[in-house]
Amino acid sequence: MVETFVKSVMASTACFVIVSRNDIPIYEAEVGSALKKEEAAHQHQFILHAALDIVQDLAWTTSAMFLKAMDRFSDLVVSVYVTAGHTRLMLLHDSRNEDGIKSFFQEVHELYIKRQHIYDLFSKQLVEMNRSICMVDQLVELHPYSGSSPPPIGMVDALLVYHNLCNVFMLYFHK
Amino acid sequence: MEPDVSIESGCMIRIAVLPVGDMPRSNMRDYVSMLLRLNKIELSSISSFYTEHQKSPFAHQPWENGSLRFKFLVGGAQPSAWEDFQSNRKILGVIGLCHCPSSPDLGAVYEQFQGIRKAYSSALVEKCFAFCPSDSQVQLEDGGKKGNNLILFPPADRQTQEFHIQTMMQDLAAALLMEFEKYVLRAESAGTILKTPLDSQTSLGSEEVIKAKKRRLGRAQKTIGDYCLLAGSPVDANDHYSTAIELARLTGDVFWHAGALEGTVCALLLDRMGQKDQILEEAKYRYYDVIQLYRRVPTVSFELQAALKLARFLCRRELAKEVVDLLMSAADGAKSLIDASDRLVLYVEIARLFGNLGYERKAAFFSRQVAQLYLQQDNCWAAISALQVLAMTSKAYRVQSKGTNARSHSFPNELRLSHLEGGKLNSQSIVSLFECQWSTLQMVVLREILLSAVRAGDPLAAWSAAARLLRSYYPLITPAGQSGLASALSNSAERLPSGTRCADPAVPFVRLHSFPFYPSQMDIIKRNSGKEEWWTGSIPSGPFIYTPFSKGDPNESHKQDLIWIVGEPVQVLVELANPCGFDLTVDSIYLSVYSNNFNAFPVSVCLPPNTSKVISLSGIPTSVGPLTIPGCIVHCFGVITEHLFRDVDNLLIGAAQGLVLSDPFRSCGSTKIKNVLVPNINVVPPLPLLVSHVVGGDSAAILYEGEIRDVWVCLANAGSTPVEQAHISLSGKNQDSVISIGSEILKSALPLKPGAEVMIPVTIKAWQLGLVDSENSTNKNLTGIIGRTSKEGSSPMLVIHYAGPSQYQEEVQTIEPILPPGRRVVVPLHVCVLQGLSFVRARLLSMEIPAHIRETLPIPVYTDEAVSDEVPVNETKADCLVKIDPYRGSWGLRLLELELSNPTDVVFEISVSVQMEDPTTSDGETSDFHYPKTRIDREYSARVLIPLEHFKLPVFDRSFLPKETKRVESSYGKHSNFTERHSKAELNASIKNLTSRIKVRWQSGRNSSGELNIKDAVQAALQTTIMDILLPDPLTFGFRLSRNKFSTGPLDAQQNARSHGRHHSGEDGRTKVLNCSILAHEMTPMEVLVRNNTKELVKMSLSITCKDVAGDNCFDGDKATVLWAGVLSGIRVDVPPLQEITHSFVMYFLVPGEYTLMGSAVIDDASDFLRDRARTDSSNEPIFCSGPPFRLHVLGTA
Repeated sequence: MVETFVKSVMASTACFVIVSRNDIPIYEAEVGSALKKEEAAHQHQFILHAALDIVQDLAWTTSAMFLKAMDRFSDLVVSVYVTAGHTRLMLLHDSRNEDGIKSFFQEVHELYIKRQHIYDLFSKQLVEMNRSICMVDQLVELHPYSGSSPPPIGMVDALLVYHNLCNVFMLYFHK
Repeated sequence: MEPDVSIESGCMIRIAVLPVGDMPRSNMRDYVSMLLRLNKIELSSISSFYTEHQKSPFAHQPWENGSLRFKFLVGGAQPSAWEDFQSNRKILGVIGLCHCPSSPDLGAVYEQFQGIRKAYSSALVEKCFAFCPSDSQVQLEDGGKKGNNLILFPPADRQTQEFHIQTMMQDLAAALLMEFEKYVLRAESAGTILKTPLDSQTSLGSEEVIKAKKRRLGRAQKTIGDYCLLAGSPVDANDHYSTAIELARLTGDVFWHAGALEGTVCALLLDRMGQKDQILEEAKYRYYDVIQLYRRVPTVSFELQAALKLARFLCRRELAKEVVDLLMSAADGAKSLIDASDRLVLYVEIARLFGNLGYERKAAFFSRQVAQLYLQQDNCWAAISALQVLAMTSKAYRVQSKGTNARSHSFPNELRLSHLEGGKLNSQSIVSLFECQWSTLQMVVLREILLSAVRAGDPLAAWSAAARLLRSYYPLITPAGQSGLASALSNSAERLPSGTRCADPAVPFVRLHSFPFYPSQMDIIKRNSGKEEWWTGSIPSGPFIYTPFSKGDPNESHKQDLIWIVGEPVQVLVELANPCGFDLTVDSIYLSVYSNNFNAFPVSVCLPPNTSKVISLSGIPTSVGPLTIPGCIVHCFGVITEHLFRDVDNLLIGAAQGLVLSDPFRSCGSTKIKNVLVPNINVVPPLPLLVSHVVGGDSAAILYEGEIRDVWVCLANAGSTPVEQAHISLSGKNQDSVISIGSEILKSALPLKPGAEVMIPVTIKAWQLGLVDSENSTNKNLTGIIGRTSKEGSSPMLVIHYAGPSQYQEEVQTIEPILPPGRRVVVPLHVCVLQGLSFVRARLLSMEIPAHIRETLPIPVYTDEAVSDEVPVNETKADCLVKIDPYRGSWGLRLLELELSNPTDVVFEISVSVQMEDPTTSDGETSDFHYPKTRIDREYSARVLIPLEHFKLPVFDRSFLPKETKRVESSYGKHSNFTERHSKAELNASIKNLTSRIKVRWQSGRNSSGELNIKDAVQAALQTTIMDILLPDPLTFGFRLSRNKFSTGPLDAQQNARSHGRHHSGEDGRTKVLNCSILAHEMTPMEVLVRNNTKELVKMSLSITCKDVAGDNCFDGDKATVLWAGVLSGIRVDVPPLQEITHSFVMYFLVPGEYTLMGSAVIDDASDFLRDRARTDSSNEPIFCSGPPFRLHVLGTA
């Protein structure tokens, strides 16, 4: 799906990371048509990691969830989509197809919220584990910043969840 | 580009500070530090040094509140190509620093200084400060020619020196100010040609020359403004800048326009010092213009510098967005910078500004960029710089070394807090511990640190980085990579001196496994000072004995106290894990103790790849006091590191929550163990230590059931203090089997000095196997609680509580003497019980033993009945219990038959003894009858007979009977009243008494002997017929020849009171024969003795029957062949209770032969009691009592 995105926005470099509210990366994907080098990939992650500082301030100054091109470093631009639960979908890219990026984020977010339906396909246990965050995410979106913090989840759970999520992404976009 | 620029840099006078002569590094640092404080000199303070030669061009010099600012360039700097454009870039002064004691020749020093200063052509003032000159140097210098430029600072304390330097600096400042005035005056009048590298790039065409002339004025004005700023006069500067701006705008001199505009902002700041907020907007507005202008200039560095200056000016949280924008655009400009060092400076500045803003990650990012730029320069110094910069980033990436990590000290609090919540860790706090799991980045950073450290030749930093990399990210590193890191560690260690310590542990992972129990031989028991039995009421202090009661109390469960003793070695089990793919050799590992009262013994371990190992670390506490064990010291890969248990615990908690990559122990196949808390360990002074062993070996004694054996337990005091108190108790199963313990021997041996030993005898009687099995099932719950004892099997244990002196010598003075703890030694008495002689059953037999009649008459006649009663018994004691005395007979003898079988493969010999209560002795002295031994061969059974005659009671007491009758006749429906119950109890007691007097002992071989437990069986066998055994007949009959007539015949037909009559004449019985020599045809006077055994007067009609019988069985009425019979009947006698009457009669035998004499009586008015005893059915039936038959042998006279 990310590759589909890359094609749609014609990005030669893209790095997509989902960062939890605890600043822990829970999903990473290095994509892009450019030659993949390990060092470059590291550099992408470094840029995204550094961009968190900016996001953390910026997210509270705007009601928009999509923060376009909020950081950049040597031709690479960071766009971020902040969910109400303060999970950050971060994309490092080199083109400025804002609409494409925005719709990509929205789709991802939609899936992120709807994922409990998807989990039924995989495991009921996973649903149980993650229902809480989903619900809180939805709740918080209805009443933004109501102050209730979502219950913490283990990183491994989240990781599993997102790997499954990605598989679904693939299914979804290959249709 | 220049580092550390700000808007205010425009007003700073640059002064090069250079060491001259031989300058020790520490002195240099000292002098420089004194100098650096003087970066601002008040104008008011220099007025005394200032003389106005001409009218000052700085008309608005603020003498009251103005100041000159200095920027000291230690070590000097290259002159900049842009110093015409920005006068503050010029090095306007040179200060040489000289340390006189190390540079004796001041002349040479001064010459050297002169040489150095020539490089700084722009310098207006130069001074050489010489510190601590000797007297000779001072004297030489007094007459010297160096003028004012060499200034000597006599040796003084630091404060004085600082004061001197300050004075000299004020002098220097005044000199500079005067020089600035001179320069400005000259520039205003003559004008100077001011050029920048930008100008020289263009060829000087004629138009250009004209243009340049026009521009010169503006540029001069700008330069004058610069000097005004340096002179601390912002108002003057502003005036000149305004002019310069006008001129530059007119001439299109964009670059200088921007410079002048920049100057105005600086002037503004200087002028409105302390009102930064008010001029913020103004300054910002102007500076954006400056940036715009600089953007039009081919050189990008000024634009970037201006952006950085503005960013620094704005750098505060509220304006973060603006600053970030500025910095981001500055960063974008980096790629247009040609010079790598410019880029370096830019990134350094950006990183610093982000850092100031609190953007740690951004700062780290740019710092890493800086480090990469450094690493591109392939030299050692650059590598060192890279290493330093990376070390700064390590905090943001959370890979910092523990040595620099202040947070690590706050960890324990956090964790302790969470532990206090009943072990439920708040995962939120754990998340914060493992925050920022950007493992890829972390690995990259660590790798870069490692690389730069290797290049920089810093083996310790390299070791530390490799250790962190290996320890934290081993799951992400290939085995080859892991081996590479291992060799990096080894290589680094080779360059380090041996014994180097590093704050960052590498592998292995070390966690606390357990504190092993004190062996039960060494248990420490808290003394309960209030009690005589001090060991009661205190739980064993051994660690981790789980008690369900302590669960509710969190403080209790976490504060397990452990007592260690000075001088006694202790052990702690730790688990090591090597999750990496190489063989790990731990050169030594030992417990880390901070409290200095522990000698830890190092061990070395080798861990193959992906293995874990539990090892025991030991040591000896050396002095009294609390002791904590935070971790282990590990010497591995050539470096000593401390591995804290806490860190691994955190790691494991993180692993459990999925926050950490992998649990190193689980990946090594180690089982999960509960988190072990380090208990509070307290070291106490030496205690006595009893060491026990069973004499003859500690192996189990093999005993047959019922065997009795003495075991000697040897107790030796292996401690260094005497044992002063000791108490022995029993525990475990089969405590009954310990018959006696020689506690007194132990008590008498106290105090047991160190090294002394004492032997205690313990007598054990082996228990019955079958009983133990049943106990096992019933006592299951009980054994579960005892716990430790259940392991020891069914053997009993001696528990010896002992303690040393109750007070230490040193503590006599203290108000509350603390009782040192006592100890407990458990001596298991290992007994292995084999099945021995087994008891099959017991039966009661009425044995019919034919009486053997002999011709001899050995029994003497006694007049005294008491004597006659006793003496024969005593004489025949040895065999009377088994052999039937033919002359006394055994009429209706009752025998107890015990059937025994011997399933073993040894031979047993059985000896039965019966304890006799002597009725004549008042003190109840007992005498035993021993039967000859019976031998039972292996796998045979045998029967042992025990006659019960001796158990007859002397009195026929009614108290026994009612109970018996009631039980027999009417066991239903009748209430048992108190007396009945009482009598029943008495009866039971008598049965018990009887059974306890029969003892069956056995012996096998030379050593084994024991006693058979037959009580229950005998009791069961005797239960129904106890009456017949115990109760005597109501009446006893006896005959004797009357002696007064026949003094020559020592013949006696007396039968003592123990011969028994039978109340049923027809019952089975054997003739008891009274043998005597009686001649026929003679009057034979005789006496019949009737004894009343009841407590009542008995009236009766006595009959004496004499029969001439043939054959043995002469009394079974029908069968007997009675040749002659005569009856003397109808003698009415009354026998008082417990008395005896004698009735004399005379017999005359006609025919010699065998005669039988038998007494019998019909009791009149028999009581119910007698009736019951006779078991009559109707009350009218006469009660008939008859005695045993007595045999008479009548000899013929012929």
